[in-house]
Amino acid sequence: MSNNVPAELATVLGRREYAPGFTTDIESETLPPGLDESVIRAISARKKEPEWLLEWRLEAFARWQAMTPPAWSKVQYPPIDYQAISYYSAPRSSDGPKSLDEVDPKLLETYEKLGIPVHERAALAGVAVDMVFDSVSVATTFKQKLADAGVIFSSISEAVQEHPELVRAYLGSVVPSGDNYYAALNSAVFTDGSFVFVPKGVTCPMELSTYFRINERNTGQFERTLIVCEDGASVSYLEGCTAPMRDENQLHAAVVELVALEDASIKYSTVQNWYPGDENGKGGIYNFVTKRGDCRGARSHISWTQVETGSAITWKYPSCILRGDDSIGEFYSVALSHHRQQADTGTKMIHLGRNTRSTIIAKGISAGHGDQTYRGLVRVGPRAEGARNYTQCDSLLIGSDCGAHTLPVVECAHPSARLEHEATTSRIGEDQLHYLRSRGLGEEEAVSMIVNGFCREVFRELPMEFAVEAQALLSVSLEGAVG
Amino acid sequence: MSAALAEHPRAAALSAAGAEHRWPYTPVRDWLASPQAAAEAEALALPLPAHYAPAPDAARGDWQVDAATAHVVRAEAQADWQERQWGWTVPANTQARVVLDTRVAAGAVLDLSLRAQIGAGARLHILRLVDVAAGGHGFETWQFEQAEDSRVDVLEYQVGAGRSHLALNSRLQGAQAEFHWQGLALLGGQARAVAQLRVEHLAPACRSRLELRNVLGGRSRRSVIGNMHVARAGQQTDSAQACHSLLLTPGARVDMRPELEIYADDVQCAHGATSGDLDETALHYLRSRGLDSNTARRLLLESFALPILGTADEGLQAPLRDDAGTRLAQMGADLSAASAARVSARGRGRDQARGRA
Amino acid sequence: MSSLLEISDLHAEVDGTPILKGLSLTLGAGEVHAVMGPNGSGKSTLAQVLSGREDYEVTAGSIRFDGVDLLDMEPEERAIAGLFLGFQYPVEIPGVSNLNLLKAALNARAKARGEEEPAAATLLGRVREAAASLNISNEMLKRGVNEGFSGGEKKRNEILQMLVLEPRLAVLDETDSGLDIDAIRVVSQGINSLRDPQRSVLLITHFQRLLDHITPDRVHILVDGAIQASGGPELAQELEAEGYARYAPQPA
Repeated sequence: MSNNVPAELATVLGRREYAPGFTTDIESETLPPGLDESVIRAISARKKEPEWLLEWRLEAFARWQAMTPPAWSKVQYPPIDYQAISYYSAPRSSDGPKSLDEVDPKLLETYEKLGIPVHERAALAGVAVDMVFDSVSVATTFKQKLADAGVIFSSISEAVQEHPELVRAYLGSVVPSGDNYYAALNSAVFTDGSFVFVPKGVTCPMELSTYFRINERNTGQFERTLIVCEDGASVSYLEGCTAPMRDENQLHAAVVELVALEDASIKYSTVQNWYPGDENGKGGIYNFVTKRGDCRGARSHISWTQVETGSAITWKYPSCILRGDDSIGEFYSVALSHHRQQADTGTKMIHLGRNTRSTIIAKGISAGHGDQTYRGLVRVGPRAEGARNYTQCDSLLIGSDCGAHTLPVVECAHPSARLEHEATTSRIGEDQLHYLRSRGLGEEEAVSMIVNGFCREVFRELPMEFAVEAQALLSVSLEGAVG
Repeated sequence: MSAALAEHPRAAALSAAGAEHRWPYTPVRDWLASPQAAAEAEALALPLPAHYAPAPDAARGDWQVDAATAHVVRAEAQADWQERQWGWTVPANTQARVVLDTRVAAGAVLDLSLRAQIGAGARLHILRLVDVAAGGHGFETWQFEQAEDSRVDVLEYQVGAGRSHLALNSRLQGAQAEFHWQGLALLGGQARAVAQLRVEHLAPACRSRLELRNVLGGRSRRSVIGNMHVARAGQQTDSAQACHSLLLTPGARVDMRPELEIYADDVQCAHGATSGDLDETALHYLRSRGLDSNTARRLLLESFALPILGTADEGLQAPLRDDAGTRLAQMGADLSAASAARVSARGRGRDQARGRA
Repeated sequence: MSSLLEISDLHAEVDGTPILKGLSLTLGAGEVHAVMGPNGSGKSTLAQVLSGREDYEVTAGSIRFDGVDLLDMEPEERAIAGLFLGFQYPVEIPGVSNLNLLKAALNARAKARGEEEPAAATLLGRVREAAASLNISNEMLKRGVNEGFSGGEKKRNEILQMLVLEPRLAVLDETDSGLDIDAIRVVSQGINSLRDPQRSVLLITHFQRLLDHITPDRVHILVDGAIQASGGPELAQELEAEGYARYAPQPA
């Protein structure tokens, strides 16, 4: 009996088209490549930053210079020449976010082409968007409506100007500037990103969303996102990303910090579709991201949901520090690596408070020569009485040249903790495929249906419109995978 | 004496190997240099069935395992640093049974390297008994090479309050080779027991099973890395690993790393890990049926631990179960005493509070 | 002209082992035929070959479905042309709900025929009605395809799909195995409700008991990869009394 999925599929299925792969021809102000203190001073000056922030950046830069890139992950790539990257690129017309009417129509066109609701009246009801183009935020929708509710949603550059005390209080409080190599780099050179502040008792009236776009050649994107929910506040935040198809690799080293105080709740969803490179592994984004949430208050709740289909390399571990008693951390992830993509992703759940609970559902799909690693840590500290964790990692392999690895670490120092971990590895069964085809589904559709079924537990955590996008993205990303 | 052990030439090598694995335990040299409390636990004393004959050759170095008899091989360290380098061969299509009895006394170090070649169609059963006393150190490296259709079964029974480190690597080089490991560890005191079990599936249709159960008391710490490696050639691999731990005391710790590294697509690999304390609901249920809390605890502990020993030879099952039963009863009783002490402390607290009111 | 399915001199093998050795069978529109045979006679191979399973290699012979060469068609093309196989061992597909599968299957059909996709409400109504007749709960419909279903539930689910997809030819492979007497009655009612002059059913079974509830137009005895005898429903009764022994291949 043949053990491989039918070979003729390769010819049946077309090549993957990366729809967001166009470039926008727009005049940009770009710093020349290179990184030293003067670049950091230039960025800071360009953004008219207060002295304390410049100091913070310079300190991070000093730390970064003393650090070496992490070598423990499974991903492989040639050394990055940090002097060949430009650390600041902004559309010339953009002098910081302003009202939508003033934004360069070419920019808005770009986002519309990507399907992002930029016009408030035409927007999907209930989603406010911050658009980050290369290094700067170009527009934020629904600011007024949010302000009426007391919610601050702006670019982080703007927040530094308007709410410096808030930014200063929380920036780097979850991911310290010297946390790791890429976080240190980000702290030194971050250019923009989103800032969300939901005050005490407020439920954010709409979904917030940031859409990241890398356009310019040879630039890196170093965005910094900071979300703070005060006591009893809650917010749901969505993040999307795309980049043009370019032959060279581009670096994306972001930092995301979430702070949830007492009874606060933050739901952070990502659909990551950076350009993955072509089928031979040429080009694509290096996505080296540090995301961490701090459940600082009692009964707080942070939930990460990610669908990672893009990037040449993904290195990312959205984590939760469960500090507050009875706090809850969740991580739902679908990661796909096709062609030569590599993904090393997972989460850390650090249980410090009593009766803290965490759930990890990670689904990895490897196809072609893709390589996929789930790397996780569940740590129960000596005071985390009654901690609970449930972890489930499932891998789906498509084709015989891919790899799937599961590297979980469980450390338990409290007897009352209950920890459960399950992992499975499977492939698309010939009989499953045949069953669906015998009901009239084409091969491609059958594969897509099985893969979507495999991911269902994660997709149902996504906001509705994102779930639909994620499913479609997964199907597109898998085209040509079966053969 | 401890400081002298730390200066042994092997200590540096072992330290380096430990650092390489980035495993969160104190480097070997620190271990060796720090004085340990003397043993208070009961030493392991299993009556072995009469047909288990000593195998002096086995302990001397190269040994062609003689399939006709069941053997007992002792690896003992009573004092100082004891090094052993063994190479065993199990000829094709034979069956061998070995009890590998490892004893390390307080203040001693056992440094054992065991290489075994398992021929095509051969079977090797090992009952690994480990008792490292508090203040003793056992370092073992096992390397198995398995030809096609061979099968290795290891049943491990580990007790003690000392420090042990086992690095096992079994290479399934021939098709349909099988590796099975079942381990029960009952640890107390300051025990630190690390097991790194790596199984490499290098040929088609091989099978591996790891199942470890740990009952941890005192301030013991158990670390288990199960690494299942499936190479491209390892199609139709069937692999499962499970690690379940019961933490009986606030000072006990467990670290588990059930890893899968997979490079073939037609595989079935699963792993599971759980950790927790005794199930209070079950305890309550048993007590509501009239069992005293000691008995109820012992029953629950036995139901968790003893099934592991079910694969032992008939003649060995009874002594193993008896020994484990006694130790579990003691661990359960310690637990009852501790929880009674906690309750009465709470009671005192209440009384004092009332007194103040 | 009126024959819907025409199998002639079919030879098929699995992993190089010949299983079907010259099987011929003709089934007219609106007819119900039963193929009976002992274990290993080639019954399931016949079903799998009809559905287009890739592991089964047809080495000689032909199958025509409504005048078209079936062996030339992909499994999904056969389904869209109106062939339905109720599997002996329906596979589990975690996470894909039964409803979702039915919707996708109906949409694929509509698309291939250039028709409008059925409206969600229509679809749901149809599925619910069919499900109710088979004692399939809404909760089961929402679960993954056959996920965690008992043997009997899987078989009922196959019949549900058959009723919703309304095939022109339903090939039911051992649909009765693993069913208790009540379930057989429910399933038989489902099959009987499908009977009309345009639809045909090929029942593949080991036992006669399903035929107590569904009266076939013809019964074929399959032994050693070929039809050894054909006749009316009475043939099944004879078989029940006498067993397959008399059809055993004669030593050459």
